[in-house]
Amino acid sequence: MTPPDRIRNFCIIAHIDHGKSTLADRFMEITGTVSKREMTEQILDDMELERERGITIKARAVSMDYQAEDGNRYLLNLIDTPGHVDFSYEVEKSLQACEGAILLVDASQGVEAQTVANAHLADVAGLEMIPVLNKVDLQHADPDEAAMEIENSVCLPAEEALHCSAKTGKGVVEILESVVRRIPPPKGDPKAPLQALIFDSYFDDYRGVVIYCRIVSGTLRKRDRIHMPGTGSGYEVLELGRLKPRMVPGAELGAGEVGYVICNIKRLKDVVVGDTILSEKGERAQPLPGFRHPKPVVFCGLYPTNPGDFDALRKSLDKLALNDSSFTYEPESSDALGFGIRAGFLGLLHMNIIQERLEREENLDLVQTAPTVVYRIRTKAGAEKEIHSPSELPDFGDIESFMEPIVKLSIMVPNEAIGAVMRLATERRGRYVTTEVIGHNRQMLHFEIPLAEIIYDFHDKLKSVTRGYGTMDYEFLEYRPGDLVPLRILVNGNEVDALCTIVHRDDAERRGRKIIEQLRREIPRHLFQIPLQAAIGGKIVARENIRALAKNVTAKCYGGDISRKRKLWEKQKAGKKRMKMVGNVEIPQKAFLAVLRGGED
Amino acid sequence: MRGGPAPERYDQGIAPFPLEEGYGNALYLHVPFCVVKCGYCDFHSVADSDPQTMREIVGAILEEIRSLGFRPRPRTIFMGGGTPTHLPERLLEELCQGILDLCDLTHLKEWTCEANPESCTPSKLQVLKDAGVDRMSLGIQSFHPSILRFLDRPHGLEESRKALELCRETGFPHLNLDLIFGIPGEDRETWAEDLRTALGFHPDHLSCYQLSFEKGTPLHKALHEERIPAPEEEVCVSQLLSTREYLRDNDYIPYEISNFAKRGAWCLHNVNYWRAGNYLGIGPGASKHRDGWRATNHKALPLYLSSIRESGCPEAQAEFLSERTRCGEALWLGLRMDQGVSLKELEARFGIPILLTYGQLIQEGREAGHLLLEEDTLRLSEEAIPVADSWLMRFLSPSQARVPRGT
Repeated sequence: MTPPDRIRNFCIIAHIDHGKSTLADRFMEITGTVSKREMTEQILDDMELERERGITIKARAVSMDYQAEDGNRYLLNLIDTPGHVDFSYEVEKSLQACEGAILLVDASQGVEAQTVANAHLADVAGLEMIPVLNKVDLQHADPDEAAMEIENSVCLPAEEALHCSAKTGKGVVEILESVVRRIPPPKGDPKAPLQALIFDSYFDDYRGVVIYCRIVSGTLRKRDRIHMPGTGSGYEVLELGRLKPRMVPGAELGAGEVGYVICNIKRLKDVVVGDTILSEKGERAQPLPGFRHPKPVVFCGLYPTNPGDFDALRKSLDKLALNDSSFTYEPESSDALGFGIRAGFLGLLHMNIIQERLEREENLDLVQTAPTVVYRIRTKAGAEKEIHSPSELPDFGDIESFMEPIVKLSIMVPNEAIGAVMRLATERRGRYVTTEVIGHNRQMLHFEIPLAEIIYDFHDKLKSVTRGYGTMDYEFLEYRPGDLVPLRILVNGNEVDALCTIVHRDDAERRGRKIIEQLRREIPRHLFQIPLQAAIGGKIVARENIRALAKNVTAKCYGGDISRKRKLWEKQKAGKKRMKMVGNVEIPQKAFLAVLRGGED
Repeated sequence: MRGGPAPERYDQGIAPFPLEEGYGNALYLHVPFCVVKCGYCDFHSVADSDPQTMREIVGAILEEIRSLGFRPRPRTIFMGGGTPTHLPERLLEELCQGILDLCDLTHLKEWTCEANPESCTPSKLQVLKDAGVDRMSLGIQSFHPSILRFLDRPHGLEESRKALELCRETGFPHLNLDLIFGIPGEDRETWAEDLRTALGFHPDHLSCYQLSFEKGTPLHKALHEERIPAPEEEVCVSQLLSTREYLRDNDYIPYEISNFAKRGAWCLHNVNYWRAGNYLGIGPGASKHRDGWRATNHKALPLYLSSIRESGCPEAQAEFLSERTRCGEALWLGLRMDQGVSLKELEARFGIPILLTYGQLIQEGREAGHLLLEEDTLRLSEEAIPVADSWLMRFLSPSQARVPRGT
């Protein structure tokens, strides 16, 4: 057991691509944790997808032995944090496991919205922060401007900022020295009753759930019986140890230490991030504060392109859920798309990651419907209900009021794009709150905005109006009443359930027109005219007609044409099998897809 | 050479002979040469061929007949293409003589030859007449120079007039004009004028086709690339319907969707296609059909020639159709004719109970006013003509084509 005053627990807060993983690699090299030869590039990001996207999805940790200039050996525990807004709860838990944080900023890029958001979280958690400017040797780096932005946005004195190049290793030892000098050692008493914070977990096919935890107080030993109040479950510790970053078994983990615990737990959902490990026997401490189950905020339908793949989709989700307990899924069926899954995610990126993993790792071809948020309605009868899908809505007439989730949105923008971003946010029903001046040419705009308005293509739009320079971050604020209405789509007078959406009343006409336009393009002409209508309750807000087919008769049909024509028609008939009959109208699947995928503009 | 068949055959109505087993009924010869390849044409033809190639092909066509293993006894002959009259006179004569030598023409009732105005010389027409051709089908397409240019037709107005007069003078009893409407930008009156001009030549048969943009043709490409405007649908429908009305008023019966004839002047050869009869196609790219077995020859001239040299059999693809598929085809093709189909006849031919098999579709069509069922006869209503394919394609059932032995 290492005495607490020789332990430093810290994390790195950085924006995507600002060099967090590279810096971690240098730390491991310098401390001899991993030899240069062993070093696979950026060892902390171990999922293929993470590496490709340059995003750390799941937190990891590594323990390093460092011989400091003061002559002492220190145990440095670096806890990696997810870099994306969707995983803010996990970020919070990772921060809670640390006493300090390195605030890493790319000197050529400056501070980004997420970095600021996470730095604020670290500040709230009482962490000692060390500002570090990376990539200072790049030609277009501007360390002074970046340091000033740090001072303006997170109130860390510009002159304290360290300079480094994670790539070449320049200035990295100074950072480690700073970690030892400035970050306080953990406090906990190894003899006190056990309290260990679970900040991450994952599922290993052979050993079950592997828990990553930080011992806050007390000592955890092999063969101890433990209790986790969040799930109310009890287990025996079969193995524990440090992460270097591979698991190195040991006999115990003392207060202030970071490590892994294996108890033969079969299901990932039996372990919840943020929960506390307590001792089952003897004096039992209080659970650590701040535990909650993160709830999915974005929902979408996932449908196999080939209906026969439904079982495979289910199995794949079961498998993914072993490694990610934060998404939910249950079967649903759609008139248009057949059997599928309604899945809930922590955010948009989380959703995209799961979909990509399904397609890549499980080789499933999926149709993903446009994402929706969780609405709350109150019925005239007084009941309250959460709505995850428009199909759960009662009759329009029975709805008393709608509530929708509002988020605090912060956007970091270059000065010249402020107007465009303001327009974008207000078009999306954003309410401007305030502006912070961050640097000479950059400001942070704050809005309150309905989550529904930013989950679909807001980020892409932001990138395009800021020529790639805008970054954003959001956090949940509250549910507020909204003037929302279910928009129904009728084809030849028959309602198409699958196309119903919940929209803001002011937006209903535009959205209705858009959907109808998409249907008009995709539904083939029939022998009769087909009216397409978008309606709120009984009121038609948009309408168009598909003209009746006037002429299709083949002009020439002789000996040589017969076989060719028959084959052509047979092919067309086979295509019709994928059509859905609504009343007497055949709607091709691609018409549904055009609408459900939310192909806006 | 022998003389042509007796003209009284036309009084016997549209189906003067029963559909027969074997290829006996209809002989088609494909002559794949043209002066130029027209922008709309997706038929198999080659422009700019040298006399040597033409000689080889004519030789191969006759060789194909020789290699059939039986002596064809056609009731109708149709020489199409391409442009048969594009052949040099000597070769045209050789082809005709070959037919006379290789076929038993005892039962011949109709011999049609397609021609384009620019290749109608008096001597070539005389060759045809002497062989026994009694029906000339001229690719006139339009009497408007601008439309002829649009269609890349190699002839002008004057050549059309001359060719038509020559056909009369040579003494062919039956004359057909091919015309095209639905040209982008063409108005109703321009087309009506073409029809009036055509009737001035007193043909007993007219084929009026809406211009179609077939994949792979220059016109299709031009339309796709928006270098030419698309024809207006409304105008096309109106042209189609007014053509039927105008020609009816002038005693031409619209006996098939695109074909109009004076009483008794139906093209027997083509009627056989629409009755889903058997036919024997000879030449590159030609198709043949015998009781559900259908084959198509190699199109590419070198392949056609080499397969004739090696085996005498130039078939490139073949399929065998189930009774159900044949019945569907017979309904589709038969409904293109104004007389429609006889359900009893189809049931007898294919052993398929029509009303049981297609009952729902027929019922739907009747409710829409597009299909008419009168006693034993099923046919399309006048309203259904422009959108006929919507109904016709639904009679097809998935093909159960099998690969026949040996191919």
